[in-house]
Amino acid sequence: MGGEVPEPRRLNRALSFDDWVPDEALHLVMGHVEDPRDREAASRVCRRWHRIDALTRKHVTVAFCYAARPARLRERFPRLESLSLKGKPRAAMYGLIPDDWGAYAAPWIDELAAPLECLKALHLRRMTVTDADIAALVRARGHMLQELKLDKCIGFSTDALRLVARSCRSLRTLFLEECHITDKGGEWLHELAVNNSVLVTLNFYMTELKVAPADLELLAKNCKSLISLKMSECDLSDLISFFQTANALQDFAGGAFYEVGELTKYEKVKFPPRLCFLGLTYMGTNEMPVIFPFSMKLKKLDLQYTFLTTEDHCQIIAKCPNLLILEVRNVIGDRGLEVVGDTCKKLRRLRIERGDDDPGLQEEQGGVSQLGLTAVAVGCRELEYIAAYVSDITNGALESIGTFCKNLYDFRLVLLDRERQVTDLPLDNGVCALLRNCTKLRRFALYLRPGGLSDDGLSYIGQYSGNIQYMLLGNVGESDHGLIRFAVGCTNLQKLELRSCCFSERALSLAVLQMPSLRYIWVQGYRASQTGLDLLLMARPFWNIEFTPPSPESFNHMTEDGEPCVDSHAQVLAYYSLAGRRSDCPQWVIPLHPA
Amino acid sequence: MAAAGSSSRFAVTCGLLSQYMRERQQPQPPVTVLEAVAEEEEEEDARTMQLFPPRAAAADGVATPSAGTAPLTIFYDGRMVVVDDVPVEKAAELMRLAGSACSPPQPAHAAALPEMPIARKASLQRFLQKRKHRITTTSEPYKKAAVASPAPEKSFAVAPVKDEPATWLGL
Repeated sequence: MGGEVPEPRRLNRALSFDDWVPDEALHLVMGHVEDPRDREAASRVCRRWHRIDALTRKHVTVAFCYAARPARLRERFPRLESLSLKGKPRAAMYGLIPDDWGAYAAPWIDELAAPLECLKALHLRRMTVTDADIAALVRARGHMLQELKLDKCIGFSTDALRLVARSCRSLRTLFLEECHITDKGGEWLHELAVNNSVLVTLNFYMTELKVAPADLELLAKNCKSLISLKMSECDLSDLISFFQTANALQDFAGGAFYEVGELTKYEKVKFPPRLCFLGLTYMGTNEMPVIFPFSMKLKKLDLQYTFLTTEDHCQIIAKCPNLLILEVRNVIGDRGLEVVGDTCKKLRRLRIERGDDDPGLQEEQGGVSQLGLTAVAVGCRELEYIAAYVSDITNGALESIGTFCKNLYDFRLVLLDRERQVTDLPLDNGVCALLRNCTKLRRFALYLRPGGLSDDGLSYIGQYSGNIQYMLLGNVGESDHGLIRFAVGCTNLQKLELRSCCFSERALSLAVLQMPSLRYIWVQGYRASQTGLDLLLMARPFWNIEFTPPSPESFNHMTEDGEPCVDSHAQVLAYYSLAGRRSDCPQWVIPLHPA
Repeated sequence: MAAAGSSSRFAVTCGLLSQYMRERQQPQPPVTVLEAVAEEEEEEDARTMQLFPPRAAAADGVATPSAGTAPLTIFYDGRMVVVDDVPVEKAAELMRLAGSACSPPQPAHAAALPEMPIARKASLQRFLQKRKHRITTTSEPYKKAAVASPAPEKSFAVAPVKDEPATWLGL
């Protein structure tokens, strides 16, 4: 229905015809409504619309795997084609959540794999997936599966991948980026190459899997449609034949330069003609020229895992005027970002990761500050996503971002704690200006240091949160009062992460109750009450509260990498759930609930 | 709320339509809204949760008597105690007692929280460790030997040594 909201009288008149609109027509109309929020609104009109929405819904994202029961999902959406599930809190990506915390895929696969007859795409993020889970999935859906995305998952091995490779011949997307996979041999890739002829995307980037270049070449030969390959490290000189065969390849990452200083070995490498997304590991000053012949065509460049100096970054980026996506470490420096601002007018996504903190090891100039961010804001006005670790920042830089980057959808800023002096704190006015001007923002993250943002600034964030649905805030605010004022303004916030803040349990509880759309909150670093009972002030129907006490040093949990979770501060997780309390909590997670 | 886009108009219209449908068919129970799997309420759960509405924390009202017992978790002075099989009346009494104790006034400047270092993404952490080892290797006086035997270097890539103390932040 176009134009303005119809007058009540006209709507009433339209309603008199409602009984005559056949279900088939409503089916067709629903099929064209794709926005999940519109779908949700439509399903609430009446029972009939609810039923028709359920039958026509093709994709569902369960934003937190403990928010609903698998059986309920199956009952409501019997014709689902695509399902996304998210598991552990985001903090797991940083080693803050032990691996045995939960988020098991088994209940979902057991319940859904067989009955959902239309299911052909499954996306799991930060979940625990076992070989048995994948076997069950393959047994039930192997013949139908077109997309399997396991994103930062743990718990399975290459045995499961062999099963997928052998049985899922219609697979177009196999995505395993940053998963922790037990390597029991490279046969899985050979099986995939032999059995699949329709693969478009293969991603096992940042896994440690070993593969044979010959299998990659075979894959390229059999899958003419292969457009994207992101792999674990493999010497680039071993991929010459693969590149010759993979004619359609556009997106490649994971090739590595193993012999520093030996350029002759890599001179023969010739990239496929359509390549425009690239990430190479261990590329240094001497290896850079490999990129120069086709740098004009590059749309995405991933330099996070390189050995480049600031000067090297300047040289490369100056040759890449068509970049849409750039990912770097903060070694790029302000000078490099000035080159970005001058050169990359089409840039949409910029990620500046935190590099090495030890400057002695190699030349790592100053890092990123307001100078670089301002240059990027002024020069790259199409930016939709900025994530930056900075050493210094000013209100003016944030104001510039607000002024020039009107399309910003996702903004994340971390002020590193290495530098003692920061030019311009608190950042209240800069944050206010950014939020007021970037009205399209949906995600916002701000991690500062004590004094980085006052209660006034926190109040501004709430007041101008607009349509922001996700926030991460660290070291912000001065008192409980600031948190309450923040919460009063957040009408659309669904997911909140707070770290290292000074708020009391009581304030956290009151804030939760103030935010009408909040479904999920994760907190680490707060002022515990003497009884610990103030967290129960947020108790309400369908709201689960889980407390993880601080762990004694001797009680550290081990991650699968064998590295201890060094962080031992208490955590609170609270979320809406139709599934009731978790039944699979590890011993060290304590559900809180009124007696 | 920011300027309404077409999706908001659609949602508002559906809201109005829902309201009119409800008025026309009065006996129709409302559909609960929650996530992608909204369902009708579970009366039993709702009744159980109502035992402790938010406002009751400050009230002196008598807790509703209920059959059975449940575990009680108590946090005090940084320690945690879990007591099994506590009757509801006893738990309510304990909570009333705890609530009545006066809490010390908050200091003007809250005591500094223990330092929580900024975390780094796991994949980047692994890369930086490998990088350190590679740089150390190539800067050694035996650089020629290292170049001559690439296999040990590859093994670094496969099984990095993790000796750097981790620092942590979420972003």
